[in-house]
Amino acid sequence: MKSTDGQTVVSDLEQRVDRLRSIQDIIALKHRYWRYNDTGLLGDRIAPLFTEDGVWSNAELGHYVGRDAIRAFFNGASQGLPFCAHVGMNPVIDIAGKRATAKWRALLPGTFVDDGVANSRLILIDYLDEFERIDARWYIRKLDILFNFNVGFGAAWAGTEKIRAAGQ
Amino acid sequence: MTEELAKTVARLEAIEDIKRLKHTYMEYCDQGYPPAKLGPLFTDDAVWTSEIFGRYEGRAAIETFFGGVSADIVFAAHLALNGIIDVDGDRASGQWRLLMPCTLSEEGTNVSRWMLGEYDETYERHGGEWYFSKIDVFMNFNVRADESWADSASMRI
Repeated sequence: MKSTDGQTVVSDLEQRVDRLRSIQDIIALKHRYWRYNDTGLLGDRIAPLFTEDGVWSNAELGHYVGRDAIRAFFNGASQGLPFCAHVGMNPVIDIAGKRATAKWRALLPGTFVDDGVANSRLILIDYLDEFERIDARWYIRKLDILFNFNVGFGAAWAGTEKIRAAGQ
Repeated sequence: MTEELAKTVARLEAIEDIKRLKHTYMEYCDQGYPPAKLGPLFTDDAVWTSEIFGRYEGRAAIETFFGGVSADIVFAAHLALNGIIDVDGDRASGQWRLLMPCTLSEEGTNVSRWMLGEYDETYERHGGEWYFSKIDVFMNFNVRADESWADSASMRI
């Protein structure tokens, strides 16, 4: 509060509350995205969380642009991944008006099916995300997903680790 | 009414800022413990302490400690969970859990390990910014990824 003027005080409070609300909305959006992943890779529910031109990108799994491509990718993936839990942590969220960026980490225990055989695997994930607010609602503009490691459960990851380049 | 609302907003902002401070600290640790990035997160007289890793008083000592860590911990993901943050004016305290998959260099061999820990922390606000004034890390277990922690787990007394 830089002024004792009533209107300025209220305006300042509104901006600060809006920032806090945006952070909570983005956390809820991300958690909803993970939940729709964990309940069957529900492409029809996941796609509307993205902007129309949203991007989902991962070096191992592909680069998908637009809701239709993202929907098709997820709807076709559940047979190969019948179980997973995206356990998300460490959000660092920056709000800039109608845009926002965020970093997250996630640990993902999952069951992967290869040639009819189910395998327990553990993936450590590093996210670089972008968000956009449209008509008072936040959407995902981009998920840039790096697998730090992806190993069989109980196996060592030493020698397989990946991290983002400095400055990212 | 407005004054009460302003206090509530200030408290929520402080909690959010401290979460961000903590997650930024974890991110820098994952980037190889760069002292030049980690040091400015602490007050000048801050304390970083652990029964296992030692006690370091003052920002300079903390930076020197972090400068040597990456030789042993060649990869790590410091995953922070279960934050409890209490704010009292320009001071605050926090408790967190840590889950840390990591790769340690042990006699020239890189070994995958799981660490579970808990943090007891204090914070101070100076010039509108929050800083760590104390980080106390307690390690519950530290086991190889291919072994059990059943015989080695410990708790704070």
